[in-house]
Amino acid sequence: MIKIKNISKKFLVKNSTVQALDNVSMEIEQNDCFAIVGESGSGKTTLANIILGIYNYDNGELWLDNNQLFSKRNLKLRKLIQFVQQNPMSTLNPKKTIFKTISLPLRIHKIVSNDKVVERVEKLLSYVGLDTEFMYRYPDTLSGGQKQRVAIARALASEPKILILDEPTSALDVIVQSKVLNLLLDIKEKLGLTYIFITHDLSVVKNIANKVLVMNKGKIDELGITKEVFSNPKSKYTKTLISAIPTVTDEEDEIKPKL
Amino acid sequence: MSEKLLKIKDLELSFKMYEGISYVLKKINLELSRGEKVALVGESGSGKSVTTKLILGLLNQKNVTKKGEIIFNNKNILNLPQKEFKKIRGNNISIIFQDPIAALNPVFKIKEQFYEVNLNKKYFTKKDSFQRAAKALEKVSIRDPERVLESYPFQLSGGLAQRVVITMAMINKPQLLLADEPSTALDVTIQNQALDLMHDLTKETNTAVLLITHNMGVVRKFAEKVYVIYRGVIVEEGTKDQIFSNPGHPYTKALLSSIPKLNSDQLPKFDESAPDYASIKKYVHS
Repeated sequence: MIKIKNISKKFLVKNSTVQALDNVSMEIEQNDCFAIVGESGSGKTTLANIILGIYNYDNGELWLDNNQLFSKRNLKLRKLIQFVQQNPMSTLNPKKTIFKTISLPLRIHKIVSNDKVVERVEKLLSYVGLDTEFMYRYPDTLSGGQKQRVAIARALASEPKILILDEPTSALDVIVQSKVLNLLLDIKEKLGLTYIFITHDLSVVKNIANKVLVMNKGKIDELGITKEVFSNPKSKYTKTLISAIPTVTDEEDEIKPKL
Repeated sequence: MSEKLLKIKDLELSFKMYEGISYVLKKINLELSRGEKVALVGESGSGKSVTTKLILGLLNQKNVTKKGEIIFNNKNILNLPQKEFKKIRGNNISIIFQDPIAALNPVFKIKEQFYEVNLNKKYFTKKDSFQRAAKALEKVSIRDPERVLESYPFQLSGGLAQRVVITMAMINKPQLLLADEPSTALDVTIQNQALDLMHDLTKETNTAVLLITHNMGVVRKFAEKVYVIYRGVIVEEGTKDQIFSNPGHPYTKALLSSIPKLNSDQLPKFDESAPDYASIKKYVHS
């Protein structure tokens, strides 16, 4: 579905350059839950931003089915890839009601006619398990988990094929996190979506992703089927990363790779 | 006689707000011995951070009502005047905050920020202070302490800044270290380093640690005793083994089961009809 070929990206910082992405190639197939993991500064968010079209890439190619993607792209291509960000507290406009927030992409992408907007917003809210009474509330009256649900509903509004989730649950408490993750998986099943899931929580990756890409300093460190990467990590960096996961049971410790 | 270092007795806290009174802590009881590592676990809004603020005497706004006792070294410090508190803060009790870069003042060099802490121990000249700081940083395996001391906080990486903050908190050998989510802002590998460092330093000086966190994995790695707090009520207390292998309170059980496990391929499923955990009696392990 998404094909990335030898993409590189440099950033200019004062007098020096930072190689944020160095010759990254990968393929994401339909219905994948593709996880990108790595420490901060490893380039995972840069990669997501390039797929979204926020940055352009220096060299390489980025394909979505049969269209080559650049940072400048038309509405039709833009609506196919949507984004859920890390911190729900700061990604919702505090001055707009939930209805206005969710209906904006509906209007921009002309998903439904004007008289059907309310109906569609209600449907989107029901996808994420929120009552219709939330429509006319403001973000500051919502809890963190509810806000993240609204952010997901907004991302779903333009009927995308791909959702990029940038640490969607790291600002949430564990119990809420578990609920939101379960919700995301249900939605994926129901709507046949493809997920690109950026996180540094490897326990979450193990539980929801079918493929995982480990990034280190802008390079691909390891790429493969989640089960295989976790049971038999090849690179030293991946081993370190997996063995550093804080765990809560002895059974988990036993399956960690020995360093 | 094994004196308790810190004893919190029936601590209550409420904020008067526009909408009415908000009860944040409801009769909290908590104890720490010297050199003990205790974790206070709970979700956001459960009252764990305000507990540390009360211990440090940082909640003095007009709309705050406090009741109960915080006994530190046999002295109730809950309503101590600020002048007295100044002697305790940084000397006997110190704190590590969540985000090390944010905890440091961005417009002062690290050496200047160490100077302030060193003043407490009568290191009056800048040169003495610099040397003392450099020595301490060297001990936490920072290779070039001089460069770090001459840097501004934004010039340091997250892991390095956290080591600086931990060193700063420990330099006066406090009896009690409050660690408010000390590793949440860090990557897993650096998180482990920070926890190990805290462990080593506190062992050396026999400092007690009150670890505030919502990450059960961190608790398991670090703490000896655990208190679980939910909406201002302690719902369970016990040793680490008791809490992890035999949790008693339904909230603790829910908390532990909702964590994605490394040895499973599926997310834990959730019972949506959660009871009101706060109304269920506290579970004490015998």
